[in-house]
Amino acid sequence: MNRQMCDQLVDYFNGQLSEIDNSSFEKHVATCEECQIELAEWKALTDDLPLVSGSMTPPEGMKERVLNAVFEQEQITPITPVALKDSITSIKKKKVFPWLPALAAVLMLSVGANIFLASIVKNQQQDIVAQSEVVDQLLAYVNLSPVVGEASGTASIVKHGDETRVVVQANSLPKLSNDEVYQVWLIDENGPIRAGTFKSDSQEGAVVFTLPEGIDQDWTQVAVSHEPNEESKTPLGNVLMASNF
Amino acid sequence: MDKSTDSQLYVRIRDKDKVALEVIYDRYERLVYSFAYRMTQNAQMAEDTVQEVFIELWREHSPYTEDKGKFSSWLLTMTRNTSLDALRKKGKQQEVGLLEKDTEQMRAPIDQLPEQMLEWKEKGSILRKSLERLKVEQRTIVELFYFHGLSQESISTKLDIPLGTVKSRIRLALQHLRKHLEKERGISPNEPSDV
Repeated sequence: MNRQMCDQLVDYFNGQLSEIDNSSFEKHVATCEECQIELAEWKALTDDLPLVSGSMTPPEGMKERVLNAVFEQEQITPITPVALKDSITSIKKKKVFPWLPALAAVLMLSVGANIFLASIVKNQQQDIVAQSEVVDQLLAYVNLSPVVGEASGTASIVKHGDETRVVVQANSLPKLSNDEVYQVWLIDENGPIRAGTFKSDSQEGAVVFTLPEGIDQDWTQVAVSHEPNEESKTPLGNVLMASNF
Repeated sequence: MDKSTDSQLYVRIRDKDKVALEVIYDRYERLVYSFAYRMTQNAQMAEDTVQEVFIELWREHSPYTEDKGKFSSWLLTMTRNTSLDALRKKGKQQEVGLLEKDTEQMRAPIDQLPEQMLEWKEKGSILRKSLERLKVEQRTIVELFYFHGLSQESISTKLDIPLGTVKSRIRLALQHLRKHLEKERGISPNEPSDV
């Protein structure tokens, strides 16, 4: 029995633990009989506590407002102002490009190089739409470190003419099931904005997203998360990998 | 009135049956709203919570299976978590006042209420009486722990008690609550309880 772990039960019950502490606690519970009994007891004892709230009459029109909002979710395209579905490329059974980070590093050093990163990706991947005649400028390049799981990769922001594109390369991604997707988030001081969604059958690959015009603020972080479906407006699933810019 | 069980309706909801979602909504609207209001003590936040809970239910972000217990308990746990998230986002978790006493707020004619409402009403009434029988400090810790969802550290600071005693005090308060519940329901403390 690990007393220090057992003492986290209150914060676990109230969802106050960080993702890492939460999963450590769950591992601990699996082997700690005392915590298992206590948790089961607390759950049983609090199961009916919501009933003390009685039965209030909801505000007029709430049912209509709520059901409209629920069913409207169906109508909303999975693209937020930042994500363009057309530019999302599926990366089925493509190999990872081990040269991509090196290339990006070279680009960063050599302003004169002006090589269009995404156009090279296009040569390798037929389904990436890119205009190779436009000169590109590498705005940022980072290595993505694993957060939950073992996924890692790189992310680049490329200025392509008037367009800003995000290139993400990833490997060791967890398997997807049902509607699950990976989502790329750009984060600034106002929080995360969804840059795009992708799927991969082989848990690896590279993908290019085009951001709408005017979206080239100073991002502080980039992250890739594992989402239940492509509709998440904020990260709901595990963050798989991330990096500061 | 649709007599399908919650589990049957949930299966239909997973198949995107809007009618089934509406039946579940009608069945739980008051309970979910009242609980969300009890948690947030704010009508707009309570309505937003109801909306969020039913969106989650429709989108299956947290799928329900019977091994998770009763559907109603699962839905109320989701309501509690959503209310706490809303309070945390607004930084209001520490601001929600302590309720001295819960009151019965049934207003609608009985024939317009879901069938289970009578059972919920009876259980709620017993729970309220049992909570009132707790010592003030025990009622306060149940309030801060369960209804405010505060961290161990916040409870310790708020009540000015050592951090290491928070868990045991919560445990003690819950055990006392169980004893009062058993007395209220007229069963001996040794009999199994479904509460």
